[in-house]
Amino acid sequence: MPKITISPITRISGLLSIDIMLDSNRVVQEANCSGEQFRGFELMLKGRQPEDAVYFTERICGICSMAHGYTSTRLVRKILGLEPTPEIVLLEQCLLGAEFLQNHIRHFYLLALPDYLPAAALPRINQGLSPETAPGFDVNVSQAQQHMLLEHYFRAMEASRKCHEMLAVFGGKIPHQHGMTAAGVAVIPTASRQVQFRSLLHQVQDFIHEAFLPDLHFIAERYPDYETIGAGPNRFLCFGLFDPRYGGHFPAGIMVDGRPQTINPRAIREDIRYSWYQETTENPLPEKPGAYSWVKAPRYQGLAFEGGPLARKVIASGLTGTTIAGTIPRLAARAEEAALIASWMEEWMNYLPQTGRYTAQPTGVPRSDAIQINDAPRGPLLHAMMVSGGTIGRYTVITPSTWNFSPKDDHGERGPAEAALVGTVLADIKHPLEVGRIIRAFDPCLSCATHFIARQGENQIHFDLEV
Amino acid sequence: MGGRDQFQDFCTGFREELDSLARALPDSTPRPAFIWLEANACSGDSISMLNTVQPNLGQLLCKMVSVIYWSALMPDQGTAAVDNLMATAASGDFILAVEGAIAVGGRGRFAVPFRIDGYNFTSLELIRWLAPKARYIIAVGTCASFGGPSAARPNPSDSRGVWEVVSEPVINVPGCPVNPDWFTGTLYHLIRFGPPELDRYRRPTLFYGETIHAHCQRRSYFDNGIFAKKLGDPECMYNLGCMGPVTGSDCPYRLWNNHLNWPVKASTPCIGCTKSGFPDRSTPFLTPFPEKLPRAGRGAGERSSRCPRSRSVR
Repeated sequence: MPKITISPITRISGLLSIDIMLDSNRVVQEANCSGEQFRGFELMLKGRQPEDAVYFTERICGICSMAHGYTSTRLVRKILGLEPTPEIVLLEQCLLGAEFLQNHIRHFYLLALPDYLPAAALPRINQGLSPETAPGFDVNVSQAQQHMLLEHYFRAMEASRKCHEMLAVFGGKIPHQHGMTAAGVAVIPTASRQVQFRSLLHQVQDFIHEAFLPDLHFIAERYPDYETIGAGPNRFLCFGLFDPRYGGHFPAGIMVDGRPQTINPRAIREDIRYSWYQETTENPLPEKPGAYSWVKAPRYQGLAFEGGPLARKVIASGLTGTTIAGTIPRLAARAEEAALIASWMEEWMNYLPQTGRYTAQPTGVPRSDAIQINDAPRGPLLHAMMVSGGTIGRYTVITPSTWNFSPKDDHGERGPAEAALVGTVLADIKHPLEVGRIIRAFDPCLSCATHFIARQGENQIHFDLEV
Repeated sequence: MGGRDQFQDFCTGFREELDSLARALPDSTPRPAFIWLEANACSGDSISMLNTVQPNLGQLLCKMVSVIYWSALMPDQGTAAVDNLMATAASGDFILAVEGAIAVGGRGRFAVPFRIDGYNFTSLELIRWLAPKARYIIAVGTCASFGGPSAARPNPSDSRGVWEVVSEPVINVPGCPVNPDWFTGTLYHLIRFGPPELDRYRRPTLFYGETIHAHCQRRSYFDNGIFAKKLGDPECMYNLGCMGPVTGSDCPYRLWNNHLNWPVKASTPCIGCTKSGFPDRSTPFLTPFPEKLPRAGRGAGERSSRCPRSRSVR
């Protein structure tokens, strides 16, 4: 069975390699996704102040730092017994929304789109590109259309930068913002800041409607095969995004074989048979036989689940039964979600008072452990903390890309991205374009995905649940 | 008429001036080959570079340098990407930017940028192979400069700054993440004027030469002993853990994200992210900085004793 390795998978966050096993008809029989980096944030957080977790966990990920900050902020508030006011919730949702827009625009244009353009269309980005890089490239796009898409590629750079500028109005800087902490938001939305934020939002909305959505529909029309190429496990997971009490939101839930169900974080488990960790101690073990990734294999009720914009769309809309997971549906859900979230942000801004209580209120009872789940741009994100002696005793993170890019579990079941690759026919095994397209539609973030949690008796999430 | 002649002379001279300026701009000079290697990082420095305004990202990629390898942005993948890297490395004339710390633990296996024919090219091996061949080496962000968050105690992957694992001179452009201006300014300096003046941490003095405190907008509050009691207050952030007095960086003037804000303007403390001891020597983030040090733990002390100032300039 011929085996090919694609390493590095570029235009993603972090380090990823993929091994593919093919049959004689160039059909993918097996795929292994390898997360190639390990830092060990959970170990670093041990012994630190609970409040420090917000700025610290932002540094897990440069592209979705705000999502980690947002989740950690909510977790630390539970620990300290702080309650966010409605004003805080609205403002923080606006900031998280801006991070989603930044992620989604950058993903489609800077990361995914080059997979659909012949290399020659991007000559000045990479001098080293030779014309024979992509023989047999399925050029479904005319030269004029390539120019239009390239023009939008450069416009996307400006639009996505402006998303981060929106965030910096309140966050001070981004990546790794400062303004939002467990104590509340340090920068109040004065008229001056609101008009600045809104102006940027409207510019970004114009881009979404003038370029992002039409370009996505255009690619979908030109690559109809990719409606179904890259179908995943067809099981979807969403931890919920935004507070239902304030309008626009995505509900938490799971969808298995077209049947919606509610969610119970106790049903999450992480396997490490194929991950580079020692089975008993969970110490890193890069020479472990049979293992091929630093990423662990999280499973819900023993099954692999896909997270992300498509999962949110499926669960929110209650679409049942039909096979809809594929490369184009994943890209489309992301673009549609950007338009939707931008319109929700507009609404939240309408309710945002200039003066109000932007400091979290000490109304709850401090706790020694808590769990926080909500969705991040790439899917379900979990942060959990246990405090002992006033400092962090244990901190656990399970990120969206841990779900999507998990290796096989203890029973040999593939992770969602691996499952999406199996069955794909490669047109030219020297230039496996299909693999890049399928993989990038998940928007991999491997800096996020690699984590370390203690296993023996602790791999079940058994924190006091109050989601 | 003298006036007219003078005007023509002025125009000619001005045009020549312009021409010579244009020649000096990166636009018209041959663009240096550029390799951006990502090691053990959060990708935040790559993302921060996407936020660059002047030059904008298109100008950086298409006019200032010739990008041979930049995992976050390059069209190629797999062996095609690596072939470009290898060919350029062999030619030996390129600028090398490194994002992320170099993981030394596990024989380098904690960060493997790519593998070929089953062989793992660790970040440790790649940096030691590329460094002697590069014209200049820039460590981008605090992880590449000093280990940063990737090396926070107990530093499970034994991550280190680039300068700790190579013997060639490294220019450190720290920040968590790097401010895009710090990187593009350093890059321009290298292309146009050669190596910039560096401080004892091998950071360009152009950006890191003065402390935050020296130019802080809230300095008058400090001088008058008026301190913020909580985040969001308009006064000096010293009692809330501000690292400004001991952090070299031009944030108060330069600002972030199209120059519109920075942490103290957002009524939060500077957390000293350009420093060699970040984040361990800045935590607990909200504790006044003289009290942070005894609680910083063993890892921080170890690393500070190995900071670049203790080594002679290579």
